[in-house]
Amino acid sequence: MTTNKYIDLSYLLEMSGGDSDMTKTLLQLLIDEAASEVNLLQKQIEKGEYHQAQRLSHKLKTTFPFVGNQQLINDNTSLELLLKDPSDIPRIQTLSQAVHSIWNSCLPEIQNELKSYTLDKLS
Amino acid sequence: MPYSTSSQKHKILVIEDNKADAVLIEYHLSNSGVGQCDFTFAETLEQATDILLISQEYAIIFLDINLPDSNGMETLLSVLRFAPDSNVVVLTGHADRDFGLATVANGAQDYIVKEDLDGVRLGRALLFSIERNRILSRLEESQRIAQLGHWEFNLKTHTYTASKEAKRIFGLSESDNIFKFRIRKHINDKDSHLDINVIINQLNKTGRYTQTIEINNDTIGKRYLEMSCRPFFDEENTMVSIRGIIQDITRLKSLEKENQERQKRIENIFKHSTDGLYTSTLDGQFLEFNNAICRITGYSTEELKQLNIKSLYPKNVNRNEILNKLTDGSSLSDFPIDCVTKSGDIRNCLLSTTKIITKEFSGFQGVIRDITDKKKAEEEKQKREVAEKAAQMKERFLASVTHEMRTPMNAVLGMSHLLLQTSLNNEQTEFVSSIKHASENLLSIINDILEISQLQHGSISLHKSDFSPALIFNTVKKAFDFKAQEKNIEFKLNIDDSMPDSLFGDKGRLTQILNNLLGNAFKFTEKGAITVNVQTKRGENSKVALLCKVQDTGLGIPEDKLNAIFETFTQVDRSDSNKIYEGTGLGLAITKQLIEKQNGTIQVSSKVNIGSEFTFEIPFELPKTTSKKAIKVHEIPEINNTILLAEDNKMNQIVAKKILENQWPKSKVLVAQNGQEAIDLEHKHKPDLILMDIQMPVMDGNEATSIIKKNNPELPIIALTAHAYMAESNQYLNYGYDDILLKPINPENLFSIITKHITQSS
Repeated sequence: MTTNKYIDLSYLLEMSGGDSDMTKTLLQLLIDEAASEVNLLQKQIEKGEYHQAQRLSHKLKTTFPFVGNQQLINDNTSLELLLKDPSDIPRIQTLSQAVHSIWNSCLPEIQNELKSYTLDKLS
Repeated sequence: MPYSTSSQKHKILVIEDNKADAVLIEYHLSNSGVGQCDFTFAETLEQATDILLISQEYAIIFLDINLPDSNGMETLLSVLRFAPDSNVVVLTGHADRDFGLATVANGAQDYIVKEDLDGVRLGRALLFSIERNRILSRLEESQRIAQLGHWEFNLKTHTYTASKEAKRIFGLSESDNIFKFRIRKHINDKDSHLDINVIINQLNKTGRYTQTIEINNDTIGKRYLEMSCRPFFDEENTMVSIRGIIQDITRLKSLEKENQERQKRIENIFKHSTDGLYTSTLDGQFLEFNNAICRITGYSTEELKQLNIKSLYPKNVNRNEILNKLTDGSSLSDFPIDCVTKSGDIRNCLLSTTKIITKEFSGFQGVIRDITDKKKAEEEKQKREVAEKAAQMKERFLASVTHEMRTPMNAVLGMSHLLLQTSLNNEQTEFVSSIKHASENLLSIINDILEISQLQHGSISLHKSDFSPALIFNTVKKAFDFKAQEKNIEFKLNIDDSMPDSLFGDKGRLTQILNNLLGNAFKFTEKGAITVNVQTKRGENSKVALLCKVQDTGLGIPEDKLNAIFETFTQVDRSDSNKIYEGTGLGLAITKQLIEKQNGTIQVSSKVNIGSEFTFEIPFELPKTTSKKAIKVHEIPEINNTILLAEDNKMNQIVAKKILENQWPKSKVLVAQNGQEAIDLEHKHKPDLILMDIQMPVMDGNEATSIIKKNNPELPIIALTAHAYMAESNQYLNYGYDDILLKPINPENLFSIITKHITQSS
């Protein structure tokens, strides 16, 4: 495992109150649900389903603070705003790719964190 | 001064011991046709002086000089002492014609031989007196206007006489007897020049005496007088009297003093002006100039006196061409001109000059302002501004480019990651892994450049909130634990017991600082230990200084490089090491600037091959609210209620449910996935409060709230939203919500809002 460059789990840990099981649950949710939602978001934008994409982006807005990557939060916030009036399609696509890329950078670190919590429990 | 007109009675004093003569005078005058007369009679000198002491306003005094108590000239002089301004006509006998003439020489207006007394002579004498009085009156008026009085000193009788204005100037009243007047008594005692003997001596020598004197007495205060006098001689050339004038020149003196002071001020300005001030002839010869001209040109006063202004102009500049265009009275203002100094240097100057042609003066008067230093400073300022602007543009360019680079880099990273998920042979996996690793490094560099650029540009702001410092340190520790295991390095975190549960500040930046310092420590430490010691120092006004030491047993930093390590793009030369260390050399610069941005400090001490110690201190505030522990115990009341949470985001569901159940174990938390489920659960379980997410599938929170509120308007429903504008614009009230809570959830706010509404409804 390397130093976390993309994620900051302070908020997640604060919310879990140090409860290891809950921490794991939240990390698992990030890996399972948030990951598929980020992928779905990109697909919806590719297909031009901007209204659905806006709703999904809004949902992710409260998910990304658990990841703690400010860039991810900012880009998604901008994306949600643009999707409300989807006129600047190139910018929407750029932001969508950015969200996707940053997420993909965060994901391995989240997975590693989950692994470390599981190992901690096993040990 | 007595004043008579034909309509008035003429007051006449007759000093005559012979009653028949007195009656004769009254008779002749009454019948002379000169008008009505009012006669006063005195038979002795004593009677006369008593009368004159009471009033001297007689148009004429007829004086018999042979009285029972006084004879001859002394009678006249005695009367004149008492009434110096009076018109005295002496009455003499036939045999005394010569004496009569002598009385005129001694101050009588005229004389009449008693035997010749008749109405014509007496009337003429009276009319002459009246006319004389008129002339004297006009003279007094003129003297008053001119503040100039006359006086006379009789050397024979040693008596003074003076005009009213002379008395006024000396502060005497008109009725004051002149014999009370002594010049010396009214003059500053120090001024010996006013002794009459001194005046006489001076008059004997030069024939004239003029002196400005200063007097200061209670009546008139401080005044300046100018006195001048001349001697008068008899036939034997003996000085018999001194006649002079006295003029009040106080106002003149005051103006003169003001002028002198003004002149002094002007001279001071002239002397001390930093601008060169001068006058010159039309052809450029200096006439007057101040020290600044010497300073600007480098020439001495003597040298300048011999110098023509033309020689101060550069060879390629023709003074005449510039100045000949000027006509009389016209000016040249702030004309830029170079001045050649004595040493040959060029000073940049501004010339302002006026051409003056009058009878008294023909030439130029001008000002030379040396702007060399100012010009230089302005040029330097301009250069600095250009440099600063260029630096700013560079920073903005860097920020812009790095920002734009990050997006495609993220795409490269993301694609590499996705590519690694596909079926690849070993060689392809190795290639893609290399791409991914290089991309990660590149993205890290781009992020660093962007960060430092933003820091230098001042566009980074702090996001302050309450945070648990222990949580931050433990989280960061956890992040580096694997690294420590990987490198087989001991990694310890010691947090002092005095550490507060929470602080108020930018936790993200604190995390970043720790990551940077620990990242460096792990990068350059291959064996030994890395230790983080954290403690706090209590300061004033709810301030707490967080003191953190990051110690490692790594390569260390040479002493001569310690000062440079916080500079941008600086890395210690590790060419002696076998390892290659990646990085931009920005990490510590970013760290330092982030610490300073939070009013903190950072220091480093290090020894090569022994290790380094980075110590930073950041002041944080204590949270305005009391700590969470205190809230749990003292402030958040225990509740035993049913709370319905309508939320489609599972993470938020879990988090909200968990923290609510932790806080209020006796309460029940129900979860609905959407608005429709919320309506159903509300109907079935009758909760005491609903936390309603706004944007949900199937039915959104707004619709669900409207429906629930129709049936149960008293039920508190709190909107949960990530739409900040909803809270700002109070729009949530339109949908029937009782309050609003912004996501991501802040537990304290959540507890506070729930207890507020549950308490209200109960």
